[in-house]
Amino acid sequence: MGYTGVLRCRPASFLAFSNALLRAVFLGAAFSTAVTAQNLTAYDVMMQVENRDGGESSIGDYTMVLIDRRDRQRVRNLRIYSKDFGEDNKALSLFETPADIRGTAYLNFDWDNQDRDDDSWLYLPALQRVKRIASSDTSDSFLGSDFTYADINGYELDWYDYTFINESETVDDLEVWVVEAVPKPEFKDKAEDATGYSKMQSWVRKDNFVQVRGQVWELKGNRVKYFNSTEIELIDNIWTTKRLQVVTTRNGRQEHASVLQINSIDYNVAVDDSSFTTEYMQRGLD
Amino acid sequence: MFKKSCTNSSIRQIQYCLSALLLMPIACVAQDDFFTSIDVDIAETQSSDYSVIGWITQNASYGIEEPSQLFSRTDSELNGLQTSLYIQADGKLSEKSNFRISGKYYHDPIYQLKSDVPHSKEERDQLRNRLEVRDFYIDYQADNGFYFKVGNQILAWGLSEYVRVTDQINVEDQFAIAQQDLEDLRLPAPAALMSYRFNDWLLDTVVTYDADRNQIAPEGDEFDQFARLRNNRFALNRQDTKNMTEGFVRLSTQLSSGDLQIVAGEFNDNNLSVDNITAVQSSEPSVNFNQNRMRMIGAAVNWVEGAWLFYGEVGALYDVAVRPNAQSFFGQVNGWDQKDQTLAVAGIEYNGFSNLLLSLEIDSIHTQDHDSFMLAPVDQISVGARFNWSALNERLRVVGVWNKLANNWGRVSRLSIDYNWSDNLDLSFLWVDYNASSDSVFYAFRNNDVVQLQMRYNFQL
Repeated sequence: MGYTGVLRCRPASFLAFSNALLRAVFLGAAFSTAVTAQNLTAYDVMMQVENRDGGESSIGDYTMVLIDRRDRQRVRNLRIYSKDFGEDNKALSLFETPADIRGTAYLNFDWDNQDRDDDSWLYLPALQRVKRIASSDTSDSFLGSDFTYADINGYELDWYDYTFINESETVDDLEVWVVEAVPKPEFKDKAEDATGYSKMQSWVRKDNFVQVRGQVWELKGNRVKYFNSTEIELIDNIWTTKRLQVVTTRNGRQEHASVLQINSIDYNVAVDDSSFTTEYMQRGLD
Repeated sequence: MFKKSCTNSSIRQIQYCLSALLLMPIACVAQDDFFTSIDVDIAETQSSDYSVIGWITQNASYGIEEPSQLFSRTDSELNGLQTSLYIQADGKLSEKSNFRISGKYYHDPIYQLKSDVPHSKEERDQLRNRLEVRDFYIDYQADNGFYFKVGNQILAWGLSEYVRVTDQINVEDQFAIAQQDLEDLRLPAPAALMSYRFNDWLLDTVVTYDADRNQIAPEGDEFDQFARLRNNRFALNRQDTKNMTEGFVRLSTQLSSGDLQIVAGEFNDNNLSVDNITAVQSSEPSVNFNQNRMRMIGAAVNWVEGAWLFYGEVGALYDVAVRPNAQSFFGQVNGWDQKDQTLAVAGIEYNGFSNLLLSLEIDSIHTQDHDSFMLAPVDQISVGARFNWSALNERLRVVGVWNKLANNWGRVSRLSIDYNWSDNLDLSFLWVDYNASSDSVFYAFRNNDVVQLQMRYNFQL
């Protein structure tokens, strides 16, 4: 369902977005006339969401706002370069603000081979050294936000059983499916380790397979998270969610929230392969 | 599940179900509220070819123990009120060329305010006001794969956190050992870097000129590394470096789940060593220090397995000036003996716990052709451990470091707590504890334990 997927820069206090973020969070599936919405199973719907066109490459400017329970806001601006290399994807994220993390860079190689972990590196300006990052607990917070690495990187579709909670509901006057995903017994441990969620629900638009809402139940802390996608536009023929919000609640009260906004994005632009090297991380914002 | 529980005959369960039914509409309303868009103020950002960032830091430091009589401060008291300003300007000269200029200015009024502490002239001159030029370089990316960067710059190589094996280019700020902010640890060197990428390999060549040596505390300061010698009334002199040029080369690549770098270089030791001792028989012998010339070849590798990151570094250092023990110190009037050493590092990081990173590193130094007059034994083993924990969506960060020095010479423990109040304001607390045995070179610093409070205001123009 992919309200996410990203990085792991726990050693530092920031992270970056991978292409998976672009794919999973912001990109809606382009509408396929070959699909007959009426005959789809819940699994088919989620497969359509998964198989969306994100473009071969992109360069985007993003703003992330972190909001605590006292409504104090912290703002991060970053630029993300992303490019497909066959079935693999590479993404470089460069932080531009605030001042104390400007120049921080995160490089992620997302391999199509499911048996191969992502390769990730972090560049911290304070150290002026590129550091490889171990991939691991994908249920951890990403950049201090309410997104987890698993949210941004997505998860394995086949780990879950899908059922319709509601086959016809409306959100903002648009018809949606509401699909619930619970881990299959044989993948329960793996799925829960990866996401930290016991179950997930998705609201998927019927006209273009874009997820407009999501709700997930965390295994620990009695927390529930609410995702909301708005400002959904067709950019370069790719459905793009320009604003994604997630609210974390605990015992029914808002604990923290994050808003991720695309300021500008260009798809299928020329991005040099050398942009996805560790040395470029250090030169990126020079 | 709800329906099933309502059909249960238990009165208590019925009451629970009724309560749940009554509350349900409220819960639904609340749930919808969480999907409502939150108002945020996202300012329009305009891309520019130039940027200026910086921060102002106010630091209050309290020495919680009484340093020895070797130093100016001998009481437990306030020992620092440092204000610093860091400014960094970046810009584009062309599509392929950029520049950076940065500097840091320090001012510490403690040297005026604490009139009861007999600060030395060197302390007042060097620490009351200090200006450092940091990065000062231009770079150029050529079309043919070459990259050039010329000027004052930091080139941090290698992987070790505690010992320098292949990371030999930049000198360190050692004014207050283990108390520096991360960005102040290395100091830039005047250097010319040329990089060339071919396929999956990157070749870096570096030439430095007049890269200087580690910046150490002046006479009287509680981290004065020559305090014992000064106390014995020896005249200490620093001689001009004989060869101002250093050269390094590195070949690096990214492997599946790991990285590899191979490094070689000929350079001056960043630490001072005794070059010669004159007038030994006089009432005031003169000890002349210099930077010893040495060579190095080494390799560093890391790899990832799930939540584990393993890393290692090994290097052969040739012609290292080795410090003699106290009895032999004045026996080596022609300078310290040079020996070859093998350095090895094995480290491991684990980040399988939520918001927590744990690391452990073991370092070893083996000296070949070891002699009994040397201060350190033939094999030296040190250990470093660290935890890094964050909370409150990374507003709060706690980092603890424990470093056991080689040869049972002591240990350094460090705890820092950082709170990100806002994008502009950070508040920090630091505690450093020093412990050293009487035969240790760090013995004089054993009572330099300190606590610090810091407030930092970040800005971007």
